Amino acid sequence: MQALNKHLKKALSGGDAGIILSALSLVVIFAVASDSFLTQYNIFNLTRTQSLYIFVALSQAVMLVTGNMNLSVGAIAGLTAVIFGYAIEVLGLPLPLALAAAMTVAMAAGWFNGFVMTKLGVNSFIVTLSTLFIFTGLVYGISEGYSYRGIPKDFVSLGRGNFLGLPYLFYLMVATLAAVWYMFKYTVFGRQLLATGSNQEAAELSGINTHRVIMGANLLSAFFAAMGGLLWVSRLGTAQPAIGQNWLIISFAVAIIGGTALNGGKLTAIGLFGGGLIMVLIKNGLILVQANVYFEQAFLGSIILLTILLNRWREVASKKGKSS
Amino acid sequence: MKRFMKLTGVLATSVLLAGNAFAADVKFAWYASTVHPYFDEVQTGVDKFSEDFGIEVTKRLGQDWTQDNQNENVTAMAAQGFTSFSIFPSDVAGAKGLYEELAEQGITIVDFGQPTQQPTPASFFVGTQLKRAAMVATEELIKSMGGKGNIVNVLEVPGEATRRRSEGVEEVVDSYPDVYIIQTVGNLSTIEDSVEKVENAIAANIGKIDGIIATGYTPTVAIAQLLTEYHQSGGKRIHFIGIDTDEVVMDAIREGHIDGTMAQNPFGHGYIPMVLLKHMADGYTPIKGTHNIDAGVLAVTKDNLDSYQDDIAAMTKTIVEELTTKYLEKK
Amino acid sequence: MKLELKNITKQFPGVKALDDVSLTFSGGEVHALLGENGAGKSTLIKTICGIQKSDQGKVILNDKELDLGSLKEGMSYGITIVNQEIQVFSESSIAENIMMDKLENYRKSAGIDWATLNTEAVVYLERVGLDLDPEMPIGSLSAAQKQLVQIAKALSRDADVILLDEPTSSITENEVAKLFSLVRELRDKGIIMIFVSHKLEEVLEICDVVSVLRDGKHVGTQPISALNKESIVEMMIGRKVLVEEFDELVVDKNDLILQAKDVSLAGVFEDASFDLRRGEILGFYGLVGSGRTELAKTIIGHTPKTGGTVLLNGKAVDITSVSQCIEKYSIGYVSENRKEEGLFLEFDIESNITITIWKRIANKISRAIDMVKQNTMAKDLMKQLDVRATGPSQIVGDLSGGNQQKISIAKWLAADCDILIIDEPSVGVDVGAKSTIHQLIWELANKFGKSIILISSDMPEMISLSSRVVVFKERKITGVVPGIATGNQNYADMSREIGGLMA
Repeated sequence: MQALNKHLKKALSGGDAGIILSALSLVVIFAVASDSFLTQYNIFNLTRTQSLYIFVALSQAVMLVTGNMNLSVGAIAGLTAVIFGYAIEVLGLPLPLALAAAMTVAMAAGWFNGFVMTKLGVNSFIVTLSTLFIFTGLVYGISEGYSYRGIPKDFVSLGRGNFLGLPYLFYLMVATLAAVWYMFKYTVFGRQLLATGSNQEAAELSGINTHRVIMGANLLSAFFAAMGGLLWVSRLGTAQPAIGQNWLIISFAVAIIGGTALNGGKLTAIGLFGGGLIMVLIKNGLILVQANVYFEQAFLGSIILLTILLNRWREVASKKGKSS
Repeated sequence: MKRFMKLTGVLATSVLLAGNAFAADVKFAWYASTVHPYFDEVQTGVDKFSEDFGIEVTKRLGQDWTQDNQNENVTAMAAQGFTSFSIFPSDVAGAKGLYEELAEQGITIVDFGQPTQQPTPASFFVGTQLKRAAMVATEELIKSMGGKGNIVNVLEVPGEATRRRSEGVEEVVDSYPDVYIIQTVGNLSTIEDSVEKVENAIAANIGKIDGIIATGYTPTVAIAQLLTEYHQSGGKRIHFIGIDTDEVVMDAIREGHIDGTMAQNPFGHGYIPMVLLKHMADGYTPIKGTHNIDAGVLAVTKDNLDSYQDDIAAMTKTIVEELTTKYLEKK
Repeated sequence: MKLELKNITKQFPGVKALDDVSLTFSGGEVHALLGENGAGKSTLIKTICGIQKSDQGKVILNDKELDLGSLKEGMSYGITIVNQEIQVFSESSIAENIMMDKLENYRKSAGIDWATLNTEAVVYLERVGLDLDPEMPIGSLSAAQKQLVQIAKALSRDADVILLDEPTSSITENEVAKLFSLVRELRDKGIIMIFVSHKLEEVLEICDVVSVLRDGKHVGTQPISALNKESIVEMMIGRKVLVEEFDELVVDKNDLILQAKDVSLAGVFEDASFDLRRGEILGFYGLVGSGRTELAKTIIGHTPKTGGTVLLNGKAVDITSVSQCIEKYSIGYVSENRKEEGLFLEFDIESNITITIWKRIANKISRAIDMVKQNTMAKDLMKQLDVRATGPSQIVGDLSGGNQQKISIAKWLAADCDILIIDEPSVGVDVGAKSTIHQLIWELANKFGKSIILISSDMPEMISLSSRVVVFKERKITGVVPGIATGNQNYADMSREIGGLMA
């Protein structure tokens, strides 16, 4: 029991608590402001979008943790969706094979990013900026802008179905976050990821093969991007080449609101959960209160900045308490 | 589609016979910003023109949606000796500079898809009259709603086109005392954004929405899928009229999840400008005061799913026949 | 010139860092400020130069009371500090770093007058004995050279009070001599020099007056003539401490565990050869930049060699990565630069200690680290090294410098390598901790049979521990000096012989 308490306490410590608190206060504010907020439909809607955002954020967060980034996450998602759609509609492959094909292509993309970053030593910003264009080009080259229909009903029900009122995707998200939390807390690979991001030189000198670690992060990033892309296909019911187009800002925003440090070495699963929730709440809330559509970008940006500033203030305040 | 083709063939022959032989050094070009399904459809019209009239048209697509990219590509074509252009302007204000340069070289231009702002060197604009299209769509929607209820108005990215469409919707709604716009959702450019925002709007007004109107391509596709899911899982009927005929949207109409969509006439956007250019190369000049040519829209519902294309073909036919009387004259 | 501190008190949550401290520093004196880690030295220094404000008390300079709110304000009164932690702008040139706070003075119509700036920077560089191109980016310098640049920077500020915080922690004897003559020069001009250091021999050499802090209180001020090493230590820790002497290590001179033959690293050093006997402590001594650390990093595979042979137990080996070096060849390297290369300041103690062997304590299938084992190992090592912390889950960044150093060593004890290369183990470490570390190093060889290469610029430390000393000069090995136990009579002889090989 004591161990559980200690874990719980640690889990909700400092920054994480702040994020969850912000999310909860937003929930309260909106519940009061609109009576359609806490309806079955809206809760389903919110949690499903949150789940999708989390995959987007994870694809970026695992790279940020190592002190790098991946600007091509959206393009990888789009590529995965298109390959999947192509396999189903044009090649007529059965569902499992189509999924495997799509995943394979995504992992190859991730491997490519990792290869150029580690073996060729190119800065991650530049590599993934270039592959962003390359992969997007492939997406439109293959699909010519058309979407693929004929997605098997079984697959679609994954994105649309629910259990006890909450979407299947929500449970998938929670399971994934739990796995991610476990990985970073207990496994060798996860710990090495954090160490590499915290201090790459020290990691090298401590015997960590940082090239292998960063390659692993790239593969993981591509995996999450691919999952996000496929889950979007499932949710929509068609494989749209435009999937992933607006992922860039979201992937950074949710990851950072969720407490992932921009310069590496830090990531919390609970923080990400909260970050995704906050993002979704803000967007949902703006529509709920009928905010002027044309100023929407300004509102969104300001709220995101406010949330980040609040977190910073809390961090600094807690640091001042420690003796020098 | 076949009947469609036959009609234009007949049309073309008559035009050919009516016109004179034109100078041998006239070269026809068609240019659009970049890859998009809409342009694919427009090109079918251009190709049919070539087939019917036996005239070669060089078609080019740019690399992105910027005006800069368009300027580069089109001026290159002008240098290659093309004399008659049908262009989709990437930027309705910015493209005028390009047109002025072309006009100085004696080149004739016709806009299609979206019009450059007046005053413009382009001789004509062939496209969808956006406001009217939106108005027809809104009327259809209100009809399906039984003349009363609440509507959510869904708009694409802010701009001239969106503004006109929105005006059309609002004007029609104003004329019905029992119909209200309870929410406007805007700034939708990507499919994911569209899905998310519209779903939020539905959630925000749950139980109170009777109809949704969308006057943009991407939101329409998104809503078609959204409503399919919504109705399949037992949600109360929400009527919807969208725009454009993406296969996803047609599926939804066929299955009864949405009421309909507005079909534009992209074939006409391709065919008609080329005929205009041909006439002008033969010596016709625009009648003063004419500029915009509405290629027409048609409401597509379950009833005319299979026949609407013929109707649009007929529309095109009529317009082409009227060109030399309504819009062009020979001095 | 007079700087008075009257009744300075500073309280932090849970600890009183300074308790009614009153001190006077006079111009024309080199005044040492000593105390163990946690005694309050750094708080006092921060108060003097303006980084921190005391809760009570006054700072009075030349009879004028100062109310300082920032480092810059302190600088405007002529108070300047040379930090212990090396803070430089790594992408900027050396000259730029030195003149960073004066750049406006060099503004021309078209930008900065680099020519003049560089020329003037060279003047300061020469005063600290650095012969370097001022336009070189500072990031390419070694830790020691960076420290000298810091000092040059302080010199350029034309100060009335200069605080030197562990200024010799990364530089060796010759450099120190030059620095000291500089210090004397400044003192003779009437500037107030405050000297904070753990190296008591240096304090005895350069300082005129010594003040000691213990547990936040000022316990005494004495002229240097009245003191010796033992009495100073007694003031600092409140009890007597024995002088270190270690027994002779039993070593077979033919039992070679590691041999380097003509090892080269292109562009850095060439043809380095040495032998490490099993169970000995081999010292590496030399000036800043003489190649000791570079050679070590080559041996462990961080910058793999470009020529020569390395033999382990008589067999040739090709070490190409640090992880291979640790796992396969059992050679470990304790970095001199613990903050930049040795520790993960955001991680807890137990993670830092076990990082080199995570793979070993992880479950084969799930790859999950055995947290219980990790925790126990950490606890054991913390006890062995007498680490002052709240527990294995404390964040390393919150520990004092000395305790951090212990953790960076504990990490390699956990790795349990047969050969350990230790680079500057007692940098910035106080007397009590230093003694523990020395004892430990000796035990590693004596009790546990490890073979150690000890890189150090602390002569007493080097001489008391090493079986033999390899001397480096300008990227070449000039000779090997036998240790006290194995040939040399005493400290003086040995240090003379080493000095001879450095000339």
